[in-house]
Amino acid sequence: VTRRVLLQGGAAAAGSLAFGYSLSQGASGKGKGGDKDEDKEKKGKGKGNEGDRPSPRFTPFTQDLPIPPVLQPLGVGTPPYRPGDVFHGIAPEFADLSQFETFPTKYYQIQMRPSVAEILPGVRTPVWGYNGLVPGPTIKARIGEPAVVRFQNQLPVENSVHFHGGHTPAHADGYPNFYVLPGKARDYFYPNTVPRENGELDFTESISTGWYHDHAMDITAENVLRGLSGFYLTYDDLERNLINSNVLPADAYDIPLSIQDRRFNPDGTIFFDPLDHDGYIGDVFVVNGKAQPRLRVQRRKYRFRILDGSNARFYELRLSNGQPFTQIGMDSWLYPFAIERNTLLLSPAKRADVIIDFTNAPNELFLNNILEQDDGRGPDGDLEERDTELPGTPLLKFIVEGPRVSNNASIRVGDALRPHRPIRADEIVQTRTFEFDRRQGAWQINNQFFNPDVANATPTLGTAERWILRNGGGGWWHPIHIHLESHQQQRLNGRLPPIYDRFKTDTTILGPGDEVEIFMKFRTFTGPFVFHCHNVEHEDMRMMFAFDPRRQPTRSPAPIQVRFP
Amino acid sequence: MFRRAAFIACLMAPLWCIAPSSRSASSNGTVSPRASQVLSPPIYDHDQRIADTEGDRASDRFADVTLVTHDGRRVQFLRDLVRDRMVVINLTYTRCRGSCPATNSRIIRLRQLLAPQYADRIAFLSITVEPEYDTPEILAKFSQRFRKDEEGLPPWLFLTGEPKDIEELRYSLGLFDPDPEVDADRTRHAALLTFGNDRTNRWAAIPAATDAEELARTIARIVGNTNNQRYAQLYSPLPSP
Repeated sequence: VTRRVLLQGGAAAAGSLAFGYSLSQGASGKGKGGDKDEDKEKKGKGKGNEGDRPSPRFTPFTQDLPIPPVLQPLGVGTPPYRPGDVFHGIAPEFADLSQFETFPTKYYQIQMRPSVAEILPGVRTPVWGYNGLVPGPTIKARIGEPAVVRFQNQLPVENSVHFHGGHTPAHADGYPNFYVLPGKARDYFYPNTVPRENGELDFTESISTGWYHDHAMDITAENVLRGLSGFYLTYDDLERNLINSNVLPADAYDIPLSIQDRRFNPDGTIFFDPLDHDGYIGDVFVVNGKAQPRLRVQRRKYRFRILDGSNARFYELRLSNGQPFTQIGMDSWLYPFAIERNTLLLSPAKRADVIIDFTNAPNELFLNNILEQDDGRGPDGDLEERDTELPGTPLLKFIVEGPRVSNNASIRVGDALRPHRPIRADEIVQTRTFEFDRRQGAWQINNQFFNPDVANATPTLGTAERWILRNGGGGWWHPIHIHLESHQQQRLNGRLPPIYDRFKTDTTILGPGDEVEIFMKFRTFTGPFVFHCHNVEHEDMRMMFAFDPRRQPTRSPAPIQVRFP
Repeated sequence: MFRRAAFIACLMAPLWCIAPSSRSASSNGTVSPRASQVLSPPIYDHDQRIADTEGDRASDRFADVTLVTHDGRRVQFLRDLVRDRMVVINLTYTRCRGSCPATNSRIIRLRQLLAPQYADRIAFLSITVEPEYDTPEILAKFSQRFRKDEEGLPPWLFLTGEPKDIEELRYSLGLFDPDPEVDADRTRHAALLTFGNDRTNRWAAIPAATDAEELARTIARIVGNTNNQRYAQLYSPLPSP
């Protein structure tokens, strides 16, 4: 695999305008390998014609980046409704509310409902949104401040809401068939707690940047594509202190960015093909619900929680002037110290928590994607040798304004953030191997398919395990997401992973031929939970397994221990 | 395809969506874990019809090729077999010794499982990927082995046609592999069941090797015309250990 880097210094801004419309045009004529051209012809004669129709043209960087509103509670301490008094009930763990409640519980309500959004400038696009918003409202909570969110489904299809990167009871984790049926509601109980071990709270696992999205079995791809995702941010005292002491930027300079790719029909509706099982690839880049928006920033440090909220597209992010990012966290968790990154590789569902310092930036700056990807198989190249192209495609334009500020956040590369506690090899009680493969047009794990009633692994609560995650081949990329809590990568193809992948993650990327060894603990909540490929088209074809932590050692596979339909 | 917003109102209107439920909560407002997750009452008091789609449909992209059934009838795939219907589609061929025998067993079981609710309103369509060999006569003979008592079961058609038409159809159904080498190998053809309801425009595909009861539940949920058809089976008991 050859790395193609075309240096076009200084041409970034000029090139970017041409990229505003059809990215598929931009992708052609770059001299792809012969076999891929052949592919495209094949696809073109079959599924292609309609699907490959480019989205309507638009002028990029004319819409301001929206910042999703923070969800406001209906009640604090005193419930405004009777928790659990809905069709799908509430988690049994809610009966023990007091053990989670350092601060009074907040009670919220969210409706999943149809709405209309302006994603392309001047074009009305029907969407499905949490409270009608795309992205949904941001849920913010303190660690130790439980939340109950009454999700009401006003859509014509079943939903299931997953707090991705969270630590929640099984009833509230978005298990694929623990639905919110059309016209019904479920009270999702989010204790906003850290894992418990021998009665101690493990604050090294305190969550920063989570997100919530639909997880309904077989139809997640369409539900998320239509708009069902939003941010879920939590703060513990350590992180609040970092913010209050101006090490990390204040809330006004802390901005979540959800990056998604979409394709639009000529009438403005979102294109979706339920029979394209490889993975959805759009030709328009959307950030926080707007196609290629712009953001006015001051000459100071900003914190961006960047989410790849796409179904199947990977990104490698780079700033157009080549200035590095300071990464402070991966997925839900802050790093033990800030790490310098020139580019950020994101698979679907992964988050990069980064600082961008605009103090000495040019007046215009672009957040670019330099990764090449034409189909659901994944980006060109492999994990350690990716095909990138400079300057890339701009996703977001920063307009840098005003003089340098005097109260800039102090965070620098190397600064201490959240202590990290490595899982030790002598804590491991069990090793399991999972091979992710494509066979006969379907994805499978260990030659098996997901059955929501079967627990494929039954770890014992309070123990740690070693899992070997192996890519079965065929050139496909599979980002593997494990629910419940973080896992720690030990080895990538037999070697120590790069520094930025050595701490906590909830989604491990398996590139072609990769094998990753991870350690993971199973704490606080009994199952069932799932782990799966987060290319959601693969997930919908059941590249998913259930793991079901139990209080007593149990042989697997076994029927799941409880069902909350 | 996505003009569902317009009919949400009618979906959400009646008592059905606001029917109070006292499950999970006792009268004083405190919450007890639900006593049993295993058995639940029927969830919908009456059959609520799911509205037809108002936008374009996934089937608009299906190749409307001419095929021949195992009993020698010429049909247009989209017009005669899919439009406004509920179908379960798979690829097969009679000389297949790989995935096909197991898939055929699944279909036999699925027809029994789906018969009580759907009878002849859902059809199974098995399309040969070896049309050069699989003539209607061979398909007729082959299909006989699956036909003992057809009474009340969903119909099951075996289909052949011109090789180029079959290829076009296969691609339009998403049943191909982007790796040309894999795609050209008939023994590695997609072992999926692709099912949908063309009126509601809901489609999904899952591996044919999935557990039969789980397949039946999934097909019902995706293709059902009413909420009762779609969701009632979710509330069946867990299989015993």
